Amino acid sequence: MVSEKSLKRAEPDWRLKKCAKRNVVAKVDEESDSHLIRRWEEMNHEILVSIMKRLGVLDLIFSICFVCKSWLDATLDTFFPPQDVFSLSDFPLLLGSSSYNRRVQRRRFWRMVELHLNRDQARLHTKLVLPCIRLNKYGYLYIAKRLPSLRSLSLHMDSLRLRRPFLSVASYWKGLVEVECFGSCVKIVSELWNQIHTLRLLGEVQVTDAVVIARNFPRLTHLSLKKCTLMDNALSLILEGQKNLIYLDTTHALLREKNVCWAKDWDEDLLLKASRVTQYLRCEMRNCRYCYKSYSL
Amino acid sequence: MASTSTSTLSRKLILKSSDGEKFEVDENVAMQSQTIKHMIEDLDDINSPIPVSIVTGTILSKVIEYCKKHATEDSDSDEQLKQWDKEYANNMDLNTLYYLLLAANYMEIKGLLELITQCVADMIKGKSPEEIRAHFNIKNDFTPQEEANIRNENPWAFEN
Repeated sequence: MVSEKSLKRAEPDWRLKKCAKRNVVAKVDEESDSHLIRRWEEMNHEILVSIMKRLGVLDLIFSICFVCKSWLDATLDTFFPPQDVFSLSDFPLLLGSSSYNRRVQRRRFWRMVELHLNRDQARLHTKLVLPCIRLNKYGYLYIAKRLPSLRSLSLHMDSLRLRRPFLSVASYWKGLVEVECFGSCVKIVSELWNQIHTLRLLGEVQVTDAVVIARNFPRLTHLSLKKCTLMDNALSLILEGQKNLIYLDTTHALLREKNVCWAKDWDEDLLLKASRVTQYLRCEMRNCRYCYKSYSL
Repeated sequence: MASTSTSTLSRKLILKSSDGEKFEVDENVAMQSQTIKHMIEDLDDINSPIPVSIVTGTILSKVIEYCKKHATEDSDSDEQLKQWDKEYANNMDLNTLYYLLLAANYMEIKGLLELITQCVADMIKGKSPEEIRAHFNIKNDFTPQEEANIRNENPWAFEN
């Protein structure tokens, strides 16, 4: 408190000196004397970021990032906030049209990604969400080398696109323990990383996938099948193989048999097996507001 | 404390700016600021001036003008209030906007902060880097090499 006061008292003298230098008449009103100390490049970083958030991507990538260092920093933080998650999934710019303009824009955006990944704070990211488009094979390597402490990975792409590029990067992410991916990707994931303890699946889980989950994830303790479609006896196979689960989520998951469009009702036996997991989450199935439409009357 | 703040008779508070200027305002006006709200919760004697330490008198008077308008918003329709906000922001020069941003951020007045950030964003929109620098009087602190590095149009690692 005391130091604050003394700071305030010191301020006017300093301002006067500046005024004298600029040959300003001694008596200046508040407006013009504050002009001397205001610097937009020194604006509070959080405020700058909240201004940037109100601007479009194109303004940010073509113009604002060139203004000065602090504005570049604010631009990068607008795209990639300083938090554990580094997500590339919410940028419509990366998808769709391959027109010349769009390609130029995409290239600029990737440059932003590179600039961000080369900042020190990028090393703090522990979760990566990849876009559903396929990157250039060097792209994965570029990211992998710069995110050494990755623990969690979200892959929203199909297995065909997964194997080749990931063979080369898997070794950079030795600490990876958490994966979110489509059911069809579990085989590749299990081959690439052997420490996985948390698996969040998306889409359909076939019987073959279930066998892989049951056998090839020795450390699995947390499994989320939220909103998945579980084919035939997939869930039952998983539960028989994975005896060490402490968390299981089947909220809004549907059981389905081949060539039947309606969801199958859960039998007692399966429910009993599932509820042996310490923390088991499920919805009301047939009576669930989200799921009822999938069941025949 | 809780019972008095809901009473219809509004109490007066005194806000003191960084340069010592004092402003008497109704409690409900000052309470638009989350920072002041928290300050008076911890205050024993509400008659003593509340220091708003980083805000000068000129700026504080503008902040109070905004808070007064928004404390009595029942009298105006949303449309009118928006119009008032727009004129209020448009009448400020860049300096004032700069300090209003800092003040609104420090005093935690969400509406004012949103209004001014939007106003500044509108000024930036569609301008080239040179135009932005000229408008905001910003010095380009990149070396030519650094600028070329940002401009580098060949992110070979990513483009398909």
